[in-house]
Amino acid sequence: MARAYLLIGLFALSLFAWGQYRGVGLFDDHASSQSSRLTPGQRSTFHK
Amino acid sequence: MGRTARCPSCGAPVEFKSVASVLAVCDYCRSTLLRKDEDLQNLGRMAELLEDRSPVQRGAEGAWRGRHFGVVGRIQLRYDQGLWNEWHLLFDDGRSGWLSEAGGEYVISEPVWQPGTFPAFDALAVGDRQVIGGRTYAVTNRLTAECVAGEGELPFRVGAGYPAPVADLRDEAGGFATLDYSDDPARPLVFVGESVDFAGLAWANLRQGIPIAEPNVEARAFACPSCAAPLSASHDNIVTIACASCGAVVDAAEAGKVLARVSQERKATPVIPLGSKGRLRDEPVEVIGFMRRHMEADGTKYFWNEYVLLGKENRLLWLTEYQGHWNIARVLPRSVLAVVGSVKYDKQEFKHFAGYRAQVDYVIGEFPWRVDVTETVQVNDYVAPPRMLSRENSETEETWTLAEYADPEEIRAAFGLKVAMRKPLGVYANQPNPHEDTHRKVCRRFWSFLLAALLIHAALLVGGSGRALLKQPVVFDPNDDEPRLSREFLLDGANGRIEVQHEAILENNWLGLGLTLVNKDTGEAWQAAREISYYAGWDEDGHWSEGSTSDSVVFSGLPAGHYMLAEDGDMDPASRPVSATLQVSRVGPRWSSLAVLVLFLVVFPFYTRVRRAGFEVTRWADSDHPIVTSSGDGDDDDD
Repeated sequence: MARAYLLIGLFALSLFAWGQYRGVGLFDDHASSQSSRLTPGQRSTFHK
Repeated sequence: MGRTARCPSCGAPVEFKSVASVLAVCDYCRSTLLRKDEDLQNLGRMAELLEDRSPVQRGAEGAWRGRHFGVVGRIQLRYDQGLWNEWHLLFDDGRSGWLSEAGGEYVISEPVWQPGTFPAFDALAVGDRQVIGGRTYAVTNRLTAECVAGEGELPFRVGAGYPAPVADLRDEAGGFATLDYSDDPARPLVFVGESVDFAGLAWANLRQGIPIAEPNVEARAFACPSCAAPLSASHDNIVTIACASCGAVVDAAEAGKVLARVSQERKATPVIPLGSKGRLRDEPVEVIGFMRRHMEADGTKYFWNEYVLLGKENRLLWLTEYQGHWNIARVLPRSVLAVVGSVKYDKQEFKHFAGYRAQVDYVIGEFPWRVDVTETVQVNDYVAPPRMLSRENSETEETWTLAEYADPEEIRAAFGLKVAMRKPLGVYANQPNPHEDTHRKVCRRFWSFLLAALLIHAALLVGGSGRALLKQPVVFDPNDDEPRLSREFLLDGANGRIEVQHEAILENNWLGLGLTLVNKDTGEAWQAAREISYYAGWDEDGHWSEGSTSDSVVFSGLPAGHYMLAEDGDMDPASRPVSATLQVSRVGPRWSSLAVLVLFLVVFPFYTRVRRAGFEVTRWADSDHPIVTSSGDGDDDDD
């Protein structure tokens, strides 16, 4: 039990460290990861 | 200074080394000689001493508390439970002392003048507290012994058959005191000393190595007076022999005398045969006696077995066995202070487990004390697994025994037994909790993981990539459809993650947001739709609220570049303009992830704690203090 906990805990801690470094939160709301291209009209809006 | 005189009976030299000695026994004719001024008065012949295989002899020398002493005399006494020796010591400073030797236990004491009064012998009871020299002692033994014989120099007059009413007292630090009422039943002589380690007395000229007279074979091997089965006492300090054939309990000193009889219906067979020799925890031991005892609770009798072992220097040990659970026990040479519910010994707290009356059911073998099969004693057990303290009280004696739980395989190996040992049944009072070690390890690891997680979190908070990129106010007006454009901000590094947060001033209102994140360098856009709503009010139950005035959304997988955010506000046309604060930041370490990790990690120690507590509940279920909490966890909180 103690050994299994050591292994599981180390794995969880590694996952946690990676997630914290990347800024991944389990409860984050995410925007769409699909990007789109601006239309020429929109481009002019953002390039004023 | 010593003085030598001539025995008036045989003319042999009789030496008085101590000026305090008033009586001497002639070594040649055993005349008892009383010193009166310059003369010796012959009081008659002193009875023969009984051979007891004591390692001490007159002429032996030793040291106690840095003071050298010589052994100059001895009184041998008999009481209900057997024999004991009082060796008269003469210290180099001329003072007298006594080395008490009984059952392999040794105590040295010196006479002290004690102001104040003590209770009369008849008024003294076991357990009474007495203050002597500023220390509190408890009466652990109260008995009237009888002098068997004496030898050498003695500081008072004794003779065979002299009664000696004495009370032994002990304190928690191993201190020992004796109140000797031999001279006056109302005013005792007081002796104070301590239990001593025999080997630590720097002995010289001991009896060891000197041939000991062979015992009279006829006297030590005889037929059972009841059934004629052969009996023998393998050791000279055996007082009682219990016949395995007929159950007769025979006085070893008077081989024809049957003291009691145990019913053969209660016959029990010891797992470790009598006479078995072995090595238990580095000590050579021999099984000399076996007894079965019982206690009764709610009309049910509970039986257990006790083996009497003779160890090093004639010290007695006990092995007890109950339903496959074994304990190695020794009598403590000191008193233990009991308080309500617990006792403290060796800086360890022992919790009261059970109190009961114990009675002997069946005995076989040899015992260095007089076995009384009719006597019941009050026993109180206190546990601190794997140790257990037992206090046995009779009318004349209080005994503390320290037991330690032993694995059955250890017992089997100690005596080289060929039979398989019985598997322990249930949970015993002082059985070590098998889940304790796992729980401790898991707890230790939990704290290590938690510390590591906090360090990682703190390090990333300080030195990580999370930082604010933009913070600006923004106002949404229901009458203005134009999207709100944020200031431009720079996102460096590939595969970036940003968090867009709004803190709006809302009161019973809502705000819909269409977010478009635009990479000005590439023309790529990412979209998200959000709604912020907050409603609050009062009803008959008091204040209520729902929703939140804040919102956040994460955009991930963003390439490096210059970005802007366009926000389309969607509102109730009747709403007033809503002010909000927009903040865009690179995502750093999340507190929620830390909380989730801690919750995950704590599951394991919680589980092991529950498992450990379950064992304790089972343990205490058989005690006088069962655990009845609904959580089932009434034990310690060491983690």
